Amino acid sequence: MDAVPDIPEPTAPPDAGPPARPAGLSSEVKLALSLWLIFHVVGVILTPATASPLIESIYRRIYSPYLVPLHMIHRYRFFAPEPGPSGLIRWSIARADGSRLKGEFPHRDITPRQLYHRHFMLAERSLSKADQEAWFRAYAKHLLHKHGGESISLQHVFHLLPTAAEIQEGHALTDPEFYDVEEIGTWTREELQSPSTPAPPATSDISGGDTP
Amino acid sequence: MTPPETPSLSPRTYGAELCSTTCRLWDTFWFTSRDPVVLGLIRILTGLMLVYTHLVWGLDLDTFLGPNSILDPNLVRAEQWTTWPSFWWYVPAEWVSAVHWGCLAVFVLFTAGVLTRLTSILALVIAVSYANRLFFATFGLDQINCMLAFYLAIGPSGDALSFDQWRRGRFTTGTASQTSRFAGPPSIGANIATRLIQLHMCVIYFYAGASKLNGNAWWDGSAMWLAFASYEYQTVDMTWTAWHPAVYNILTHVTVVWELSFCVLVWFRLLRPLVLALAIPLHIGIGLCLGMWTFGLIMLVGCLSFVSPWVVRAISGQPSAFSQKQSAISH
Repeated sequence: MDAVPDIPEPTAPPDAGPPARPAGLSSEVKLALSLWLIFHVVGVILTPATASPLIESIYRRIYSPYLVPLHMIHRYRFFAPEPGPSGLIRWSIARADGSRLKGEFPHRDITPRQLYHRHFMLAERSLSKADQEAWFRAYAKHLLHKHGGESISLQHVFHLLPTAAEIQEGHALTDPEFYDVEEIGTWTREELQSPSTPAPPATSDISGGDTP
Repeated sequence: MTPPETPSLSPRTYGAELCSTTCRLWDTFWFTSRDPVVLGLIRILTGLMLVYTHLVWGLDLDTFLGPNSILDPNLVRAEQWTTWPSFWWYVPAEWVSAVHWGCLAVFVLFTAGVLTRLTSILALVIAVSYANRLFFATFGLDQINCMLAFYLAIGPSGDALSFDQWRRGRFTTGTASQTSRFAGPPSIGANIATRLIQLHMCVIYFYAGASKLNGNAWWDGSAMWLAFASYEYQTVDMTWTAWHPAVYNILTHVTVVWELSFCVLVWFRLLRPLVLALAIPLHIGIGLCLGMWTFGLIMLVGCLSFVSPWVVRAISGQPSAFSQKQSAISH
């Protein structure tokens, strides 16, 4: 079987439309383009492999200033190493009249699906951030500002994955036993007014989520 | 009877032959002209995806880009080891909505191929700016959007299926007129951009497959069950597969083998249609079962780079600018 590089590209016949642009590039232009192509393709190949200290070092020094502005910083670990439990954020706002407003994200009522996935990522990524506390606080501040109220409590919910055997036994994906709830904290409006201190810069491994 | 002895190569001859062959293949691979019609089609489809993706940001603009954004700009910057470029760092709160709608207008112009040289670069800047500012709400779709936007910006993506080309073609007469309104002449730029998309797709699939080898579930065949058992991803209930483990076993193994082998097999012209045909159920399945239609579709758009221009011309009923020798699987 022939691989692509062995097959020359066909050329345009004179009567089949506009003529091809002059195909000949000067040697200097070809050399310059070739050097850039090698640099670029090597960077694209190395970037997902930055778990290696050597490649991480090369990436940081040489490729980071080039690929970060292009948003080519990913490891392409879609559903790897394997699909895991989902993370959700539950919130409860106490209002001045004593009532409570409750919600969670992601919530399946969020439409369109694309917007649902944006909220899903917010919940999922909060697990992998360098400064979780500051991020939860930012979420709380946003939600309290959006919905109004005196104080807000957040919970982190892990939705565990049932086995096939558990489904065969009659369980449903949404059975309460598959939800593992952790209290995050409660903040008053006044507490959220004070500025939060960002964490020190994280490592480069902020692109390595397992979500597609 | 002894077989004829093949002449042995001296190290010097070997080196010279290696160099000359590599240079010839390199030259053929990168620096031959290519019909821009596939690049034009990829521009339209990527542009439509950019329009939709960013239209959806706009449905909840205040949450993501408002003055009280859920993604606190100070925290985002602190998490990013260096400030990732984005014009959103500099947009005043009262201008957010206007800038957002301006960005959507650029995407529409880019999709239609209006002033494509300019709008393709602007589309890249805009796509990257959203992705960098809103990084913690992004996923694979945004990575592929930015990747395609970059290659469409460096290549002549407005040379086919575009308003620009239609306008240029108006000044041509005769039988060439119809063709030149549809697509411009073959160019090395179209080839380089297409080749880069092809190589990048190979890198994506290789790492997607290789990283799965770290997970037991991809070895014991249960990984697709885990995906089906995730209520947050589910759009079609696939829990019936609990009674048919062979179904998710096969899907798991086929996914890994296909992803790992893509970067090799797709370059063989006889296997390419089969490899690309398998991409369709895989990515449509991601959309159908896991609700990620946008991600599944943009991956298929990337796979389009492997399709011959001849196919696009045949489907659209446009005369081919290339020799009829070119087949659907020969480029």
